Amino acid sequence: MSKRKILFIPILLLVVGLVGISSALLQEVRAVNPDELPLVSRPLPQARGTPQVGDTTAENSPVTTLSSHGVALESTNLDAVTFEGQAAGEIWAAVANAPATASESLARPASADEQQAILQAIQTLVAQWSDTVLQGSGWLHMVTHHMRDKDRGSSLPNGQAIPLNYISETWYRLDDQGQAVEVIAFMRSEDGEPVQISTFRGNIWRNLTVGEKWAGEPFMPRPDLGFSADAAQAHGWGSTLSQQTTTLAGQTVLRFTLRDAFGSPALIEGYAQPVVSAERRGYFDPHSGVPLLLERILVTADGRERVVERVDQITVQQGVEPPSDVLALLQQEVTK
Amino acid sequence: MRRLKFWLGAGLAIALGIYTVRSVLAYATTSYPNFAGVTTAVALKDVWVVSDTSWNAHVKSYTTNPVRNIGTIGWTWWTFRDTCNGNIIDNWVKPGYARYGASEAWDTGVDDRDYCNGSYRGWSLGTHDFKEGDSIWRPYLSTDEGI
Repeated sequence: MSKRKILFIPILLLVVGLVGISSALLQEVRAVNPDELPLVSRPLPQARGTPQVGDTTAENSPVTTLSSHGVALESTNLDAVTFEGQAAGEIWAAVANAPATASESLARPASADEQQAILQAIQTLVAQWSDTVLQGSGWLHMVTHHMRDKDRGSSLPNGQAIPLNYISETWYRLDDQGQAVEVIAFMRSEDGEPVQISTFRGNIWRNLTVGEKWAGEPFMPRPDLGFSADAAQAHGWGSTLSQQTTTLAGQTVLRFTLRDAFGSPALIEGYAQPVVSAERRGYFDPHSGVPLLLERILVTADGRERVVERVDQITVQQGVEPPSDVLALLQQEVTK
Repeated sequence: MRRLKFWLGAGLAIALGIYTVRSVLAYATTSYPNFAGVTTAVALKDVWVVSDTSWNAHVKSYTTNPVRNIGTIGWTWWTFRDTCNGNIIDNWVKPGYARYGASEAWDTGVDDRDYCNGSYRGWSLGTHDFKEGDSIWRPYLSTDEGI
């Protein structure tokens, strides 16, 4: 084979590869093209309420019970859930090195170095909490209260409305790597009634309520509800990070904000008005790294700033088996 | 020459790597070669994250090899949803859509990204619709991605 032919093959393949890259880039451009976004305009009233979660806390179990604003109320295993001494000092040092910018105004966007320092502070803080929650094998019980604000809600395939406000109660069985290998997940209404139940067993997810199943893999639970993962990708998405010390229910906390300024207004399903910018806010205990409160904010084209989701951590409980009736759900099968 | 070939090879590996990963992670397609004896019909579903705020679901029906206008092209139903630990958080049901005498039809849905402490996934699912003469093809196709 001549040298010219040998050279032609990689050049041809390179062109194919570049076409692939171009395709991927065009796909990303398409993602933010407002001309392609569907219009939604039917408003639906919705209400807020007070959570009433059944207490599944067992005596003498490692448990952190959090108030509605996430202030630690009770701990029956301080070794597992409190953070003192050198480790806490290291967190404070990382946090202290990160610049505190006022996220309300964002008059002076943080520099790249400052953004990196804030990200480092978030990751240090979250790692402290995650390492504790995910340590060792056994059951992990997490309960969160989600309060959402949309103009229009949606329904399950069986016609039942999906509540905007709901309680998420999840039992994770962790292996010794901290990966969830079995899961029992409830979506409950705010009065505690089950809306949906899903399970994960044998690498199969089953939504027992709608009768669907699909393949999955063991995964790491996210005790910070994904906040640090989003922060890690903020730069790539063009979002900015900021940090502020503030108070929450009388407690000094760290508030981190990811701000996503849209290039042009975008219509998002469930909202009547186009969105021009958004924020994701996390309020963390500066000593333990516990995410006390998480919020999502959308700023719409009419200038309205809406808190569209607010999440309170209710319970984080380690080492306690689910009740037998809950455990039995793992054996239920679905047909589809 | 050897150095040139090395860099071309390296560039090729990176480019194909990106293309492959992008394809594997995002698209799901199924196709019907020689549909109605005139074209290849392709059904495509896609899911991707736009930013920390939102994610997109995509549906597309099209013809290729050769591109050809056919009697009806679109979908009979399309839904996109997000799930947290298997439970459906939002389930947006869209009506069927058809174009007549066209070679492609598509739509993109935008949903916000909720908080989830476990497996959080976006889905695009539904049944595509292709008709040409007496030939009908209605494949069901779904794809899901961690979002």
